Amino acid sequence: MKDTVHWWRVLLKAAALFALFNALWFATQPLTVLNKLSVYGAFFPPRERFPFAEFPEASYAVSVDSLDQLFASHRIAQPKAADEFRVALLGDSAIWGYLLRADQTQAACINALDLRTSDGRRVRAYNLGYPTLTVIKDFLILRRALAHAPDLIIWSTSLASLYPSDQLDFPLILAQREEVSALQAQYAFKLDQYPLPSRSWQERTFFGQRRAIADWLRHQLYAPAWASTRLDHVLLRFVAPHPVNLLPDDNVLSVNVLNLRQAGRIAPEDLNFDVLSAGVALAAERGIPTVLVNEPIYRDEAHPLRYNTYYPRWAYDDYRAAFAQLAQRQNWRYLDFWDAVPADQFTDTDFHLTADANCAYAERLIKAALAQLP
Amino acid sequence: MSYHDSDRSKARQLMTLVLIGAMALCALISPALGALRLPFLVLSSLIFLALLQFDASPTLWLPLASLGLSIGVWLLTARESPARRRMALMAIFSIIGIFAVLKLPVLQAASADALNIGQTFAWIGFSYLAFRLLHVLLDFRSGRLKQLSLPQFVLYALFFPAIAAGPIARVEQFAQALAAAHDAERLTHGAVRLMRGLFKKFVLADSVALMALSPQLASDALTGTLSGTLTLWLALYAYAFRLFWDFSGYTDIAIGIGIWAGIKLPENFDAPYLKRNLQAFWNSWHMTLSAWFRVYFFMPASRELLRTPLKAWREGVVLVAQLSTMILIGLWHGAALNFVLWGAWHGIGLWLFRQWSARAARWDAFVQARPPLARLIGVLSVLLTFHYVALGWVFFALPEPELIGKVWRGLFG
Repeated sequence: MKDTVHWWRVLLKAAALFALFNALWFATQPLTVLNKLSVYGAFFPPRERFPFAEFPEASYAVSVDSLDQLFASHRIAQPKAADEFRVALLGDSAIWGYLLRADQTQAACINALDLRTSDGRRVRAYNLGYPTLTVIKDFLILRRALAHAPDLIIWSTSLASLYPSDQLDFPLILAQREEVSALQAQYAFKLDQYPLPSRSWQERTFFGQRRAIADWLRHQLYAPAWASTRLDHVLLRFVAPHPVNLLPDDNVLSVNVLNLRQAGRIAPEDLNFDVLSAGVALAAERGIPTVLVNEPIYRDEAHPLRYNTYYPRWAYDDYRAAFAQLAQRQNWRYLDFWDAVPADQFTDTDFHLTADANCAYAERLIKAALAQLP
Repeated sequence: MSYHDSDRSKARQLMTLVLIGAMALCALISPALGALRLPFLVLSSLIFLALLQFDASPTLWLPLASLGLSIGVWLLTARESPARRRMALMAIFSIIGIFAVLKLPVLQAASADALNIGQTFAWIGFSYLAFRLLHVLLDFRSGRLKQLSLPQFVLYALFFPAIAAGPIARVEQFAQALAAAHDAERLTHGAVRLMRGLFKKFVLADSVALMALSPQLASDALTGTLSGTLTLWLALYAYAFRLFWDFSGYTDIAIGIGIWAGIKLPENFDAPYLKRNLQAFWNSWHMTLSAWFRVYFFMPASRELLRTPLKAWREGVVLVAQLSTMILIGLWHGAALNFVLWGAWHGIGLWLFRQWSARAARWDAFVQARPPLARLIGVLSVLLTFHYVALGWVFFALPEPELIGKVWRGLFG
């Protein structure tokens, strides 16, 4: 007897199975478990910094938006040595090391110094920077970093990371929107972009999460290439020169996103210092000191109105004054390193340093940060 | 590499999927068209030829040239005569000449300049078209050619599922497939092959590609901070499977679409990495190409060599014939030293296997009399053959001899 295939039945069964699979996926959310698993650290060396890939094929890295997965793949997830003094570096692309190799970042430079604390512990720094200008992202990273027993947190930031109007609209943050909502309920940060659109039911299905699943898989598959090359970032052969012909105006570059309480003046309340404050307090609850850093920026000394493309002088001066004022009021450990690097040591933007300048600055940073400790 | 390149790569992948979908649709409806089936398939092939070509270099000249060449060969081989046989020889040299132009950068640049079609260009489908036409011309000269009507012949030469990646059907196979009654299960069989092919190509091959050996990865690994032996091996294994899944995936897609169109194309792969020796590997990897070279180069070359003083050393004849055959297959992939080395690697391997098998009859009998030992030797043979092939892929994957040497040294610590 010959079996006859009824195509409509095949398709119907396939559709039913697919729907059932999606329903099961929706109910169990396996991606949350999957994101805690990584081949890095288990079968291959852990990543030195979070994957952030503009050119995945050339950098052996793919951008993954799950913070759990970023941490599961990172060197900080490895056991802490008994004699280790663990330093977590938070910040933006300057900390992450844009246009620098993984072994040229501030964390790598600090480790190369092989410093010891006064009680003899080895200072080991961990690069937890991520190339987006938002302190909410740093706060999310900080919360996870606390689970990995840091002894010191160095949190570098700049004015552009503190705009309340520009904190949330990033893939990394949108991927943790439930966590942001929970934090907002607890802390009520000043976030102009809140509330975020809630996750639809489709986004909880296998079909809806196909991109995240594919990224997870691609991230694991890049492990051998990372292990053999230690490359995770394309160093462009031609870097656009740093802009020196600044605009002849004194507007904040992101003036449209900075909702000032008073035109032409920045007060502490205008910026997300509330996030820094919450982060410092959260770490302090666990007895971990935090050093806040106003990171170096490119400065055009000759320009009457602006320091650089990002910052007009009035805005940046007000921000620095506000930061110093708050640090004093809240008893923060604070380092203002805005002018710590000569202007000719910046590369493509107002924040990125040359490899040599980055290492010289990292040495100055860690020594100053350690000096802040009791 | 730039954003632009990355976008282009994604666009190309999407375009490939769209074209596969369109081909599958054309194939699906063609059997229902009755007498119009053949013209429809010919027309579809020409349209797909143009669409595939457009992605490589936007010119209609090359698809039209493919059509013209096919018609020309059909006209030439339609009737027997000594003059036509001589002209067939000229046509063979002309096709080989075009091949050389396409494969040699110097000649290609000069031709592109003369034709005013840019500095470099790709003639999509020419390789496989050339193999089909050369087979037709050679069979015509030896009086073995099976005659087809013009539409049938054009379809044979340019059948759309097999334009870009084969397989290379023989005329008589194609005529038989074209005339065969429609398989009642063709929808199921075609769908299974198509799905298998899509899965192999777009899931398996494209995934392992991320960890596969490449000039960039090899270069980065060897100039980077670490060049781990294990990771190089892993990259090599990934490359071996990427190549297999990619190529056999495309073959499955072509066969699946062919089945839907009612034309069963020949198989091209038969579990090649599970073969116990290199000869068996080459009888199961890109089978239609291997068979083509065996029939039209290896055997005639061996016969000719046996007429030379080399005949005194019979195994020398085999060595020269096998080496030259495999080097030619290598050169077909590209006119570069690495492909010559890859061909030589396989030519020598085949010859060594022949020497071994000629002397191992007693060993074989000894092993076969002991089933557990035979099974163990079988497994070891598969592993040995696979690793010989995989190490050969180093030559295939890397264009620079210096890099090849470094990777070899890296692989062996």
